[in-house]
Order: sequence, then C-alpha cells, then structure tokens
Amino acid sequence: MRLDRRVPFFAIVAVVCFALIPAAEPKLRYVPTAVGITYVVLSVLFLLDWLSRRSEARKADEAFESRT
Amino acid sequence: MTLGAVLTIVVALIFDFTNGFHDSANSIATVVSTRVLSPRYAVIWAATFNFIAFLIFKTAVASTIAKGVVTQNILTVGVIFAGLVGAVVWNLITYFLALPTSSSHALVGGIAGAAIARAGGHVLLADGLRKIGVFIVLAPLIGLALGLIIKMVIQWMFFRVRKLEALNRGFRRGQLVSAAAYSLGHGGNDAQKTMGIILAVLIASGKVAKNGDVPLWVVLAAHTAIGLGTLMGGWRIVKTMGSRITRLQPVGGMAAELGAATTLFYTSHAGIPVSTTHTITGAIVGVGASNRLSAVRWGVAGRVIVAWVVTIPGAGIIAIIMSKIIEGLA
Repeated sequence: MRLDRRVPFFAIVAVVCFALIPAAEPKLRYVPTAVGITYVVLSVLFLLDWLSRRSEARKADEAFESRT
Repeated sequence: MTLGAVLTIVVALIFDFTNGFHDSANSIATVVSTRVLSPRYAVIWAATFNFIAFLIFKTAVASTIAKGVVTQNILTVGVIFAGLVGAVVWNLITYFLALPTSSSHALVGGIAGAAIARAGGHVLLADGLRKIGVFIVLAPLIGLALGLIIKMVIQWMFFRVRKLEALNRGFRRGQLVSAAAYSLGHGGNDAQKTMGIILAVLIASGKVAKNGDVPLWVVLAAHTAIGLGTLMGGWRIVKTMGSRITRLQPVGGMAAELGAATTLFYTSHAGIPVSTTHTITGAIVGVGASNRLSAVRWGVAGRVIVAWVVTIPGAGIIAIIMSKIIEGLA
C-alpha cells in the first residue's frame, strides 16, 4: 500500500512555514510557527491514518489467506 | 488639490472597482452553483457585505500600504501615480496571460518600483516589505489548513447522519453565512489597499498629516467602488454561470469560504495586505486535499506559485518604466 501523498506534502509545507520564521517580523513570528506546527500535526495524523489502514488491509489479507 | 492628485485618486478608485469586478466570482460562485441564492440575489448579497466591511475592520491595511512600503517623504503624487499605473498594466498583462496574480502584490511592487526609480533602493522599508512578503506565501497556506480542517471537522461531526437531504439543507443555509463572511473579508482587505493609495496621495498633497488616519469619505468611496465592481462583475458571471461553473458541494464550498474568511479577518486585523484570490484558492485546495491529494488541480496551484514569484518584480519594472516616462514628460 503506497504512502498517502498528503503525509510528505504537509511535511514539506511545514518546513516552508518554519523557514519563514526568521523572515517574519518578530511580533508576527508566532504565525508561521503556529501554521508550521499545524502542518506537522496534519502530517502525523495522516501518517497514523495510513498506518492504521495498512494494518487493517494486512489483517484482511491474512484472514482471506487463512480461509483459503 | 492638484489635478494630478485628483487623477491618481480616480485611477485608484477604478483599480478598486476592477478588483471587485475580477473577484466577484470568488464570492458568489458557490452560493449560485448550489442554488442557495439566485444569481441576482447572490450578487447583491456579496456587494452588500463588501460595502459594510468598513463597519467591522479598521484601516490597518491602508496604513501598511501608505506608510509601510517606502519612506513617506519619497511618496509624491507622481510616484504614487507611476506605481498605480504599473500595477494596473501588470494586471492587464497577466489577465491576458491567464496568470492568477494578485492585485495587492502588484500594487506593492508598483509603489516599490516607482520609489526605487525616483530615489534608489534605500527608500524601501524592510519591515513592511518583510511582513507583506512572508504573508504572500503564508496566507494561502493558512487558508489551505483551515479549509482542510473545517471540512474534516464537518465530516467527522455528521458522518453518521443518514438524512442527506436535511443535511444539505442545513449546509445551504450555512453557505449564506460563509459567503457573507468571505465577502466581508474581501471588502475589508482589498478596499483598504485603495484607501492606502488615496491616503498616500492626501499625505503627499498636504491634505492629511503624516501620521493622520484615513478620512471617512475615503473609506466610503473605496468600499463603494469595490461593492459596485462586485455588482457589475457578478452580472457578467450570471450570463455564463450555467456553462462555466461546475456543480459544487455545499459542504466544501462552505468550508473553503469559512477558511478563507478567517484568514482575511486575521490579516485585515493585523494590517497585512494579502491576496484574497490566493487565499480562497488555498482554501479550495485544502478542501480538495481532505478527500485525496489527486483531487487537487495542481496546475492551478503551480500557476499561483509562479504568480507569487513574478508579480512584485514585474509590476515594479513596469512602474520604473512609467516613472521614467513621467519624469521625461515633466
């Protein structure tokens, strides 16, 4: 089962956000930080979702094989 | 006030009108395509909220445009006019190239270019340009995250609901609110850019003190111009609505509009001029990505990135040429 492409996509966007922190005005640096953290969380959540789907798919395959 | 100053204010208001004209589709497309409102009422709905945005937002974005891009003593009426023409010409070029550029970024590039032509690069204000530059990239990314999160929260909240007809009816009503919120955000952020230009003209003409606020007539004129632009642009869209806009789901439209509106509310409050079109594009990409990444039309997203890179230098170069022409004529 191929990795959900949203996982690397959100991780790359998070890196872009973190790279913008030094360029942002000091009083607005919380914005790229918060957005970057949000994308890290999204990336991790989609990774967990993909891992659980993969695990379910494997279990279903094993159950099918044991029946046949 | 000189004739040049009056002419610049008129051009700024025309720029504002064309902004509403161009962006009206963003505000009304979803409510019309899901048949929540008839085209006639959708246009009036969006234009009304464009106009009344002045009751909600202060003029922080206008101050950033007028005082945060270049040093104020360089902002003569000629420089502002050259910058404005640079932005308008750039918008026309990219309109024919079908490049989704931002009028706001073009305006900043135009003013910066005209000021550089007059006095050199040292007149640019690093803090203001940094703030604008960082949010060129951040605003669509915030819209994307919010569009995605709102869509997923709605999906999680209602995934057990079996009565889809009743659910869709609820979201249709919700779209009225989200379209109104987006139109408020659009009016609030975009009309203020014109206010910023007019404020700069008034400061340069000595009609307003250097640290003065935006006069009420300027606020009303800018919101009226963008509201009328939306009204006229909407009518143009109404004619082609049946053939050019595909059917949208109320849930997705509502999530995208709410995500974009939240981003615009924040940036307007913080005094950051952002592209409303790029913000709603980001939010729509977010809604698409909540299903799967291949649901996103990456060609459009790629063109937005090209627009990020080329707009400020492009409008700046045209403004430099315009500035030299004005100098030659004077």
